[in-house]
Amino acid sequence: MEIFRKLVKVRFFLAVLFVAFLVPIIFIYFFKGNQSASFSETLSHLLYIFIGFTVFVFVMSLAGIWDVISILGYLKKMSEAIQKVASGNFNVKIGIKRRDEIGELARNLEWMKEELRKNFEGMKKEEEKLNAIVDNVGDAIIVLDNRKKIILANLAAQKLIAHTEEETRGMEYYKFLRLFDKEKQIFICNFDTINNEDCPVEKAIVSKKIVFIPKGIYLINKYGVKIEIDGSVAPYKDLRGEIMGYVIVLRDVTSEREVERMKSEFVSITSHQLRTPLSSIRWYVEMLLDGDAGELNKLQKDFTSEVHQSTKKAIELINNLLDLSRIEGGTIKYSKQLISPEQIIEDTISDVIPLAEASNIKIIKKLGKEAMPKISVDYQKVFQVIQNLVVNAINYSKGKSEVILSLEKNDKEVIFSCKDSGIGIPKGVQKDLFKKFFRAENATVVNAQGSGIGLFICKVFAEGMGGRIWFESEGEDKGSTFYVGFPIADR
Amino acid sequence: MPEDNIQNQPKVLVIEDDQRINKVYTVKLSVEGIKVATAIDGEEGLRKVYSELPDLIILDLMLPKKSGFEILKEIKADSRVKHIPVLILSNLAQEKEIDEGMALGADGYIVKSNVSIQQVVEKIKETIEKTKKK
Repeated sequence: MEIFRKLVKVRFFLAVLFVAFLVPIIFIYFFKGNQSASFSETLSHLLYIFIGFTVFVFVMSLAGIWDVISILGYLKKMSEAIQKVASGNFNVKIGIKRRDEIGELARNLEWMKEELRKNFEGMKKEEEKLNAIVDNVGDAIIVLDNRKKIILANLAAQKLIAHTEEETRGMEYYKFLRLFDKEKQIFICNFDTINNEDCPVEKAIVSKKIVFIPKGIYLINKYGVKIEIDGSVAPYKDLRGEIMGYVIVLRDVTSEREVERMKSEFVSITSHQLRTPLSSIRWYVEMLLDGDAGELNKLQKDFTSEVHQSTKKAIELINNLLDLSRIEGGTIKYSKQLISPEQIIEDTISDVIPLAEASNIKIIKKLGKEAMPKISVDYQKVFQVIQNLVVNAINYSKGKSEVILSLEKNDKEVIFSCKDSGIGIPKGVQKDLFKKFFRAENATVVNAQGSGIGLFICKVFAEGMGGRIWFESEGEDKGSTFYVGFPIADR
Repeated sequence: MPEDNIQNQPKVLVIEDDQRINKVYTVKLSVEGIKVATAIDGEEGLRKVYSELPDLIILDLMLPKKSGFEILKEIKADSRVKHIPVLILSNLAQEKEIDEGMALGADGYIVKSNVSIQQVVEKIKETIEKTKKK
């Protein structure tokens, strides 16, 4: 305790000085004897001594008070400096140069101030950098606190909603974010909190999870301009996992949607144009085969059948491409109705019989004695899936053989299966079989016309209707069995 | 007034701009014992709906002068002809068009390339039978 030692040292010196003067005086006075001194003189001498002592104590006290005042002064100076630093003024100088604890405290404060200044400037730079990044992101970013108030809207967001940062800061998001659902023709967020349970922001708040904005949502900006948007709303959390607020990311997708629309229109028109001559070919060939132009001889019938099969193949290819384009465009719709699984088997068989006969394949159906429960599916699409599997089974069989179509059920689902004894699926490529455009090598040898789209579409359709699709094959030349399961409809 | 159907032959009006397809309908339906009247654009088609008063109308969608959807709308809005069943036979195959056609009151929507001509004939016969019973 440097400061205490210093103070004590000064006081001790003074005390020694005082005693050094006083003791000889008292000694001389009492022992050298001033016998003649009267009682009253003695009393007055004692009074002098007492006064001298009192003066000494008084002087010592004054010195003490002076010390306290000066320490308080330093403390005050430092406290003021701390306050200035706290309010962000790092230019303050403490300026206390002492070698005791006060001086040390002052030096430590100075050092702390410098460290703070460095950190603060670093943070400020980081913040500026972050702000610059957020501001220059191409997508609109709006950050909310957990009371739905806007704490940040980047430049893209200000441009999108046509409001400035000043207008939006601290305001509830729904005062600026007007969202319109084009399909339902309703506002899902419109200046207030009424009827906005479909608003993605509210959904994210309720679910505490990221919510993606579905297709067909339009943002109406300040000037009433409708802009189709895409994006998401996600909660952001602190280190303890507490939700601090929400980040809304929006993107103007007007031009993308326009391109998608044009693409889908192109595919639609092209497929229409291609279908027109193909249906004409198909029907004329069918009339020839039906004998409407007179009986054909065996060879004529054979050739005409080939034309018929190729035409159907071309039509199927166009249909697959159209389906693929719809899948990619996200415009596939499933119009579900209650369907009897047996009906699908019957319809498939009557559709594929000509192909099976031409390929020397016998189709065997194995249905249980009891009728299967109904399934809630899109008839056309399930038919397409099962038909695709059976056509594959026929195309990938070798020579005279059988394809077995059967129905089974478990507690939850009805399972269609299609078993062939054809070329099988090599183990190595089994995981790729449902991938778009994938074709196994042994399949391309047998059937060069395949497109690699069929099974991909089957999987999308089956799963799109709540079902599943899978297969079993022991490997090449061991045949294969495909399964498609659909949930049993609730009664 | 149209002449009475001799031998009770049903009559089908085909509104279709593709001449080749028209020929298929004419030949095939005649073989099946069905009389056929044809129209190759929308306006002629709508006129013939009234002059022929057919038992069934086969309607294409992409037609010159007046689209199939417009014709269907007008037929279904007129009590004199709205009872005549209409089968849309088009090569437009998007759900959008199928949904619209059915919503406008068509009795069926067939994508031409996806069915055999025999299936078309069966569908026509079936629809005529169903309408007669009503």
